[in-house]
Amino acid sequence: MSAPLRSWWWLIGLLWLMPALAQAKGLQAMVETDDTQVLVGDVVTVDFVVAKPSLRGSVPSPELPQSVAEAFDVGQCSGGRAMRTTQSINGAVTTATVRRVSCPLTARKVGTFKIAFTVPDGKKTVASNTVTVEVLASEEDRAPLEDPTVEVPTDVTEDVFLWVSTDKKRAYVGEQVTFRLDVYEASRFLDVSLRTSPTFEGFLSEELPLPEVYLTTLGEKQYRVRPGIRRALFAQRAGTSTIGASELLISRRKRRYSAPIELEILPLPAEGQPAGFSANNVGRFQISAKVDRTDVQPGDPFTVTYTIAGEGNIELIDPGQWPEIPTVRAYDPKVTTERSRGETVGGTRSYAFLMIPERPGTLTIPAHEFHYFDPESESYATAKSQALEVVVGGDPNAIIRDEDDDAEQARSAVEDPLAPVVSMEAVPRQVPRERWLDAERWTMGMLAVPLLVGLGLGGGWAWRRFGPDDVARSRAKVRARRRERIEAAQAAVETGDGFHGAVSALLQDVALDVAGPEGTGLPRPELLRLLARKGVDADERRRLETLLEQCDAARFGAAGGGADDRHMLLDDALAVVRGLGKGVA
Amino acid sequence: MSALRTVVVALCFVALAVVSRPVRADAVDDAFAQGTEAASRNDWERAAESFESASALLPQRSAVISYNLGTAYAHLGDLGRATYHLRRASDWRAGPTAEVLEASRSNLAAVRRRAELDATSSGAMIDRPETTWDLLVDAIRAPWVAWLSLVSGVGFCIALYVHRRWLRAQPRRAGASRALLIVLALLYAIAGGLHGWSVRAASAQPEAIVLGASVDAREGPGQHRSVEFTLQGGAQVRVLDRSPGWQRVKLPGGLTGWVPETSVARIDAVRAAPPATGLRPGASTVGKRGDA
Repeated sequence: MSAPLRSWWWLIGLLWLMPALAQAKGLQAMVETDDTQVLVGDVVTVDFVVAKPSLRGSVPSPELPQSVAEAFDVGQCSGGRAMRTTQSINGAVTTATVRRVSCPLTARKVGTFKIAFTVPDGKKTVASNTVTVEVLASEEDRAPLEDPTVEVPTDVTEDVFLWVSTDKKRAYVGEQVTFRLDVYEASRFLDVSLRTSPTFEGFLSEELPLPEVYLTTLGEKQYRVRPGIRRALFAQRAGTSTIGASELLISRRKRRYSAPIELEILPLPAEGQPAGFSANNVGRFQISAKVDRTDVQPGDPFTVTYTIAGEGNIELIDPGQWPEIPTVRAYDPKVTTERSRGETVGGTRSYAFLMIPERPGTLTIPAHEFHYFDPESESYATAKSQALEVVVGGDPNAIIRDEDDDAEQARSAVEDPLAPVVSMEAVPRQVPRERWLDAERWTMGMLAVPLLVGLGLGGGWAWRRFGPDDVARSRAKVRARRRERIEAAQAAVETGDGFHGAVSALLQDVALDVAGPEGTGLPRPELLRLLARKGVDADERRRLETLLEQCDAARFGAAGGGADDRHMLLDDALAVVRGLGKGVA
Repeated sequence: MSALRTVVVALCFVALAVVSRPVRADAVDDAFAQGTEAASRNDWERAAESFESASALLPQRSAVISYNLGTAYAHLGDLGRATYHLRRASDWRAGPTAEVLEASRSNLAAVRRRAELDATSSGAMIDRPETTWDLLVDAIRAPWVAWLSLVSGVGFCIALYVHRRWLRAQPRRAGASRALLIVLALLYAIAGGLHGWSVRAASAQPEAIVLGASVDAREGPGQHRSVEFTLQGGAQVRVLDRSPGWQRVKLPGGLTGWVPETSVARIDAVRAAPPATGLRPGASTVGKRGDA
């Protein structure tokens, strides 16, 4: 036991002692132990306590009795210092002086041992209480239960104990034996756990469902029974097989043990045993057969299902050799098992065969039988399914011709033939070529479409919103036309071809631009008067008129002049154009 | 002296470059010839080894080698690898001829029927046969749908410009122009949307084939995880997720489970899946010569 645990028990014991000490007049002696049942070789911690209901005077040290040393190996004892305590309960103050010695005792031999001690109190001798410790043999030396079939204990004294039992003492190889382990608790303990589970060497074991917790009365005590383990055991060899002991741990310090169980396992009788009989076929079984379709065509698959049902180790059942049908291709069966829930292991095991008929006609699926050993009647029995018939359609005459074919040909008629491998001189080399329109290009192109549409529509809207209006556009048109005229005049200034016509048209355009729409079609004098009304000063009008006349004279008369004259005329015309342009602006 | 050495070294490089290619090419052809010769003797194990050697030596995909390899595995009863190589043979990236394509589809159908029978008898799961919906999804993923959507988009841009520039003011032509715009816009949106969805789904969940006879699909990546179901070799699955050494796959029906990474192989991988255990393609004489 660990040191903190011991100090905890010391305090508990002290609190328990206080009221008694308050009543007592002299010394008190007491023995405490952390366990009352141990195995040989295990350690039990025993506390020897001496207390006096006073803070004055000395308390003698407890002495280990000689009987303890005979049955136990005594380890290093601890404690021994006298401790003074004061406690107030309901206003009443009690004081005590306590001396405690804790000794680890290792059990040396089997038996029931009483532990007590005495201390001198003046002329008297004070005796302690007596604690009984039962030392059990270690597991390998433990005696097995005499009758393991006793399901409920009768003679019990412990508050907490384990109880194990089986439903029979004798069984055949492969027969089910049900093992039960229950925990009986007279009072509710905080922490009870199965520390060591029983061993099932020589058995196949299957877990069974656990029943609910229930209450029962044994003697005068009421116990809560917690079912711990339920196992179906199937012995695998004849002889004596042992189910090992288990260990219960209570509140992490006390232990209880169950006894091992010995079972007599009988071999299966040789008399009447079928040839090749499997030892797993023990129980009671039936077999049935069914087919999912009774009318098929050659090459059409159908399923034949054999179902074995009953009590016994159904998952290990050996169904024996399945019947062979010559004109049918059968695949390995699909096996499914459904376990029944209950104390007896059993259920159903189905073998579904996929079959493909190869020839037309009536197909008979023969009955299948298998043998099992019934432990109740102690004899062998046979389960047999019914025969089934399947009609395979098609032309029966075709069979006669095919009957001479060998099995391989018949099989290839049903199986799909494979095209032959390709043979060639040189393997053609493919230059790895990726498609031009890969995912990335496609995505970019698809995203570009709405982008272009958006840009186009947005640009159009922006042009309409922020672009030039009609007046500005017409001004720009005028400026462009004027620029064209000037360029034509400049181009013709050296040669003189069409020069005066271009200058005249330029001046006429400028005059019309200044005069506005009402000037269109007016003769020159009327146009000049209109310009006067429009605010063009007299000098400008005069210069305009002079230049126009010079141009007329050059165009229609002989007063063309030389290149210098044309240069001067152009300069004058440009000056008039600038002057009229300013006037208009 | 130094110039002479340089010239000699350059000549050696040129000679190596010229000579090495035919040697490698011959090795592929020799391995292929050995495979076809073994196949003619019905020695399918040897044939598979030789075709695996040819496949390993050839840097690019070959429909013929994949087809022969798949056929050899089909004869050996390895339906998973047979399906895998026959599917690769009929993939456009391998450049199958019409004959190879037809033979691949025929053998693939035969292998598929055997795999379905095996699955029925063993209880393993296999993908359902292709439905009209699968064919439709494949058709949507085809390149011509990509071109159609892209050309429709570009056409829409041009038609919109023409409509706004010239035809809007002409009531007679404006109606036809608007109808053309609507048709082009619908083609662009529907064909493009469906193609994009299909390509995205295929790249996010690539197709793979289950290799081997059967593979246990587990609830998580690890041998200690419980088996959810068993996949039939040759079943077509989609790869959803990866974990070191494991892949999470989904059957078309929706069943998902984790399988060892090497038990499935992607169809679109450039290099073929490693050969079956027991086959030693590298051990063939042709392979050794080619490597040398």
